Amino acid sequence: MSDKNVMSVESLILHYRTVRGAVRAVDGVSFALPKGKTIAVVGESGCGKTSLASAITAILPVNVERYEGSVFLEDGVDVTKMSEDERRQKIRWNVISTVFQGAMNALNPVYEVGYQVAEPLIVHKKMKKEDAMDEAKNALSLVGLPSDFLKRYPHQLSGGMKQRVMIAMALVLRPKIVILDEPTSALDVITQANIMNLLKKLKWDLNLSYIFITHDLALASELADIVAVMYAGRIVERASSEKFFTRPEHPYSQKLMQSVPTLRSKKELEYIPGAPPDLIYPPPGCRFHPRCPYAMDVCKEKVPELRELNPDHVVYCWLHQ
Amino acid sequence: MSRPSETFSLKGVFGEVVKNPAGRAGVILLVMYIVLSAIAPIVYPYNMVIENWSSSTYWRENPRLAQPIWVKYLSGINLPENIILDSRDKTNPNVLKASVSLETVEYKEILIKFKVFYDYDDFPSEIALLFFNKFNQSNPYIKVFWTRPDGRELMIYSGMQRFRETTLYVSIDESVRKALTEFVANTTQELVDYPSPEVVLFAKAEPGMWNKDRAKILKSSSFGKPQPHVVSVRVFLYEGDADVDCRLIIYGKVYGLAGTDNRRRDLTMALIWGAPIALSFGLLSSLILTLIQTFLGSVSAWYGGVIDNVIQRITEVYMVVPFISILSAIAIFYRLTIWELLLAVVILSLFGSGIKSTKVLVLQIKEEAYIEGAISYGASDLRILLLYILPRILPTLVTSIVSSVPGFVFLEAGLAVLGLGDPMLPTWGKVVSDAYSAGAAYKGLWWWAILPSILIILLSAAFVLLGYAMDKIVNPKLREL
Amino acid sequence: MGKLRIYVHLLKRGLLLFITVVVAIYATIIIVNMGGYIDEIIKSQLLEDTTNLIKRDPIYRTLTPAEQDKLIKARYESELERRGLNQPFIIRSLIYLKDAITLDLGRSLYITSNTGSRRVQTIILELLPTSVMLFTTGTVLSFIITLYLGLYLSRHRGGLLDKIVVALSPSSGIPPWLYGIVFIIIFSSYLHIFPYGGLVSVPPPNDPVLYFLDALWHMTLPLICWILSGLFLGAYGNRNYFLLFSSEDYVTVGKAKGLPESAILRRYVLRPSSSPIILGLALGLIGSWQGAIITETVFNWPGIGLLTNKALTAVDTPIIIGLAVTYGYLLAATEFILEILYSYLDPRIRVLMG
Repeated sequence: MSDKNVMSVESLILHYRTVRGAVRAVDGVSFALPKGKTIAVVGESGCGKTSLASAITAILPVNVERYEGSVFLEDGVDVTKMSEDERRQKIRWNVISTVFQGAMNALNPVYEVGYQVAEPLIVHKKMKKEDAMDEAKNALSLVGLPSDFLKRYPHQLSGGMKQRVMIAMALVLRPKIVILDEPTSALDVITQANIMNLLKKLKWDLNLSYIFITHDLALASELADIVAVMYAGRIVERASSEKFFTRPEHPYSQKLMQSVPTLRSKKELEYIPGAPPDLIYPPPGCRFHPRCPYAMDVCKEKVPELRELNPDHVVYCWLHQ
Repeated sequence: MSRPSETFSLKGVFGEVVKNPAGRAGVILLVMYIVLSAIAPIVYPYNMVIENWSSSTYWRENPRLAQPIWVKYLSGINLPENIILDSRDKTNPNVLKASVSLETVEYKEILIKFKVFYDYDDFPSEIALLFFNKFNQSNPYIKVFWTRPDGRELMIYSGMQRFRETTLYVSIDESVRKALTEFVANTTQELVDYPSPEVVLFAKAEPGMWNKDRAKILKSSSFGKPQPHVVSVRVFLYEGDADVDCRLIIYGKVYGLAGTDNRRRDLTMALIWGAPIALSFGLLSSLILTLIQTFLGSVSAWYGGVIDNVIQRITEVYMVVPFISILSAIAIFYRLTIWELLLAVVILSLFGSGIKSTKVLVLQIKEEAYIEGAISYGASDLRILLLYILPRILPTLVTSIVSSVPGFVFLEAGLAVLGLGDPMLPTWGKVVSDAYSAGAAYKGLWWWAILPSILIILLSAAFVLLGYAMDKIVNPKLREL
Repeated sequence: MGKLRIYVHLLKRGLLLFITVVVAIYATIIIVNMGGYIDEIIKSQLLEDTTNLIKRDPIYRTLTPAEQDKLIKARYESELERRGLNQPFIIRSLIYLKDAITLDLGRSLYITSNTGSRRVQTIILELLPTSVMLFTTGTVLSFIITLYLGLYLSRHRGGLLDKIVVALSPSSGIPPWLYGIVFIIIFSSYLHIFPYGGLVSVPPPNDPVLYFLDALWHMTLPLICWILSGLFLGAYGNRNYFLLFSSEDYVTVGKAKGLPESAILRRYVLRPSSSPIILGLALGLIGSWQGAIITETVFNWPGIGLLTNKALTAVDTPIIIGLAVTYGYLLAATEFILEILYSYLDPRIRVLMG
């Protein structure tokens, strides 16, 4: 892994076992995250994005069927190969933390918010409660929440406030990498804008690297340095945001761009026909072929290989072979 | 916690229930009980049950505390069954009734002979002779002789018949015992005070023949050609049209599918009839209470405010009231029948915990958008309640009903054990209660207590299994668990 | 600020519970008195007392029997008036109510305590400890066992133990007394492992240690029945609760935070799920007081349950009322403790309840 990368994910695989079969949520994902940059992982709901977050931190569900691949960090360690204890003590929240979706019930309802923010300090840094609560106060002010929020309970907070708490909580150990899993989904547009600004500022001030998981291309464009498009558990295109937003190469990425309204140009909004693929029995070959306007015979049979169009622009599509 | 986000059709739920192994077991058991309930009034008509369950004379000819018949096959011991011979029975070759002297206007002698081939492995439990006497003024005089298969003979009784119907309780009668004391003394030279006739008469003539633990059975088949016991009744009549008939009952130790209790009642009747009673009591209580509580909970959740407050307060009061104390007090002082008991139980449980859980459920549904939509288009409260909310809570409702049935079945049984149940009806609880008060546990009268207990347990198991299967279906989160 | 609200809330609940107890006792009094017994009892007790008083007092010995009777009658009537017993029923019932609430429980009709006293309070207090000993132990043991079993099962879902417990869960719901009858037949009558019932053997051993062990041996079978009765369903229910609560989002967050398993279990699973579990415990305790009546009867266990049965059979009304009072206060106390626990454990309930 090159020096400038703070994380390198290689062929990460995570399958779950369900009644109907094995869900191939993450099916061979690879990307590299340079230090201090943001990579946006974009895709429809049900493409496996959230499972990616779990896969990276190796938080495996009870019904995990298959977990393979590597997640290399700066000092060369592979998160997937570490022991659970090591991961817990050294990696999680210390090196990689996660900001969860606002719609989730992510805060423990029976503890004060301040305590939850301070908890990682008490557990990982063995701080005394008073010191940790002081730090928590600082963390809350970082995200613009006053100190009397320390004593509040989650059910007393609005969606936006909860999201800020989660951000504060994620930063309290000053991690290197923050995974942002749809951090603004359930929020109104104004709060959304505020949170995005906050995230930008924090990244700059604290020198963070973000993995920004979202379905919202427009939102991604605000933060992303690199864009990775995910479809049916796989990455189909990965490019610097400049290259991506000027000229996306994969048919799916193109369709995504066409369905987002832009302020300045007049354009016909299009939609993508068909339904998201079944992750248990995905289509053979290229998984997008049933919905792809350019599908060829080879697309139905063989999985597209990586094609590097530029040093910072790769695509997985038979159109470019 | 769980959002009732799906509507179920009752048929759909039923189909799912049958697929679940627990549900299948529950349904099978339930069907068995329903069949049992249907059979009950056919085999034992209701009126007959009510009349005779408490009577003492109806069961006279059953053995007391007899075990079920199938114990014979399980234990391998050939336990005796009832042997009944009646002199009025003209077709039985083992019964002989004849006049043995000239019939004059004034004097007649009748001889009744019963032949009993006895090959069981155990002694009879009791012996009785019933006499049916027809006479005007002069009492008949009878002498009863017993000839054993080994040829030994003795006169066990002689006396005047004073009434239309008399019973000679051979097992207990003083004079019989005296005769037997003599018999034992003569046979084995042992002096015993009160030998048991049913033992002595059937025991091999050896020392210890009076002791039921040491004595050995004298079997009719132990001789080259099977020799019966012969009970001869010589009747002396002093009127021309007088007549005496006799009925010999040698009580066995097994009877029927379920044995008998201490009042000789055939327990099968109680066990079969217990099914419809338990089912109806359980289902009715459960149905009424669940419906009322669901209604109150829905109202409480829907209207909120004062109504909600009042209902919640009353519910809390109810939860602290010592239910059994008051119920017992009522039952003691007012002598309730089972339906009145049901009413009392319902009233005392009206505002129960079901209200709170329904309220929580309805509150969640109320928040949903389509309810808001319905209100905004002007739907009346009733319409919303019936059309939108009711179908959503119906599956939970039905599951509740099913799951609460066992509680009521046990409640009825428990009250019966305390002596507070319906005194007339043969419910399972009553049988267990009778068994327990008669000390069945200590005396090894297992069938009396265990058979009804098993029936109660299986009925409750049926409903628990059904409720469990339904719960899994209705509560979507549980499906994955 | 928060603390004050909690105290006020608890006070309100306490008051409400007290009112409930009053209502319950009053209901019992009304029901019991409709049989017309109470008045008769008290009146005859009074007459007996007055008669004894006069006849035994040396001062009055000089009077003739007729004069004595007149004196007795006069005293009796003035006493009736003093006690308000010559008043209409409503007022009397309120007087009984006041007596009952203040635990002035009077004397029994027939039943006496071990020391020969007929004071209802004494009789009940004598037997209360044995009930508590058996049923509190039973409920607490049952709670702990089902809690840990449920926790274990939720972590080892689908394992052998899980399948066994699920298969056996229909056996729960069977009340302890039914287990009792069946087990007594099997274990006492047939196998002779356990005694038939009672607190200690007859005659009881003299040595205190042996006495204690003897009592323990007698307590074993009822305890087994008690625990079995709630075991499988309880463990299964707990297992489901824990599974449900373990699948909550904040548990995933807790794991992502790198918290150790024990902390996650304690803070993220147990604590949020505690309210329904505590509720279950409280309901179990409350139910135990009532269900105990039959269980004690079956096992001949000398506690207030057996007393209830005896009092009901003998129609010893003062004891019946005294027991209703006792149960009422016990229930209220249990509920109150539950309230306190709730308000400590789950802040959501503080807001939602009431």
